[in-house]
Amino acid sequence: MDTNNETTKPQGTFYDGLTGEMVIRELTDKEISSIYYPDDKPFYLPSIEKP
Amino acid sequence: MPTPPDFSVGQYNTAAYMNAIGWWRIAGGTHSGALLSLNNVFTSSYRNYMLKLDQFFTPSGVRTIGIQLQNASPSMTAYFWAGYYSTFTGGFGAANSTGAGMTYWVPGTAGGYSPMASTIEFFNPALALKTNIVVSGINFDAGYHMGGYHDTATAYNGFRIFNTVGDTCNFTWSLYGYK
Repeated sequence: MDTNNETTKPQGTFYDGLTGEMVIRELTDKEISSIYYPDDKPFYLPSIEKP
Repeated sequence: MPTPPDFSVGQYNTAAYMNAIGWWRIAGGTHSGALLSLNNVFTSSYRNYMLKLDQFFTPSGVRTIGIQLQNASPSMTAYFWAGYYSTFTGGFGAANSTGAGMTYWVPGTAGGYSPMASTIEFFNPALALKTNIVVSGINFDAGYHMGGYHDTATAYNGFRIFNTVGDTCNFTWSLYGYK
């Protein structure tokens, strides 16, 4: 039985043009904080997306 | 006399022919995750680059998309940009960076229902010059055009794409270099 209660971290895709290698892995804490800007509002965003 | 490339059936490609091709697909794929990070894709082989994004969705809701230049680590400052949009329902408006620049450029906004698509052009990113960006695209709810520059005369070898809430983006991408 899996008793691991850790939250899964978001994943990222990392591509290296020198090797052609594409790696998919969990983001580090530093990477997660570097893409999180919830207070930025540079763009009008409607509260509800209408189809 | 014709200028290469001018291929004939059965003809071998020479270095001259290949070097005369001014447009090349660098890389591409389908992404699902919080971050797409590419390194060593901007080189001295090409001066300018074009990134195509399509079928771009953010399944958790409407999101602002961010894009940054990078080498071993991303540049987190000095992104200046200005754009305008016109919505499917007749609205319109402007969006822009602050006077001090932002942490990222905004190539569009995405949602979970209608696809975002975008053509993003980077001008001389691999040179120690200030990089320009030009975006022409369709947000989840509007046409969108944007231009900007990165206020640092630095050569970069790559870039990264994310949404500013840090959750999942799904999209297909292709990167081309051209001389």
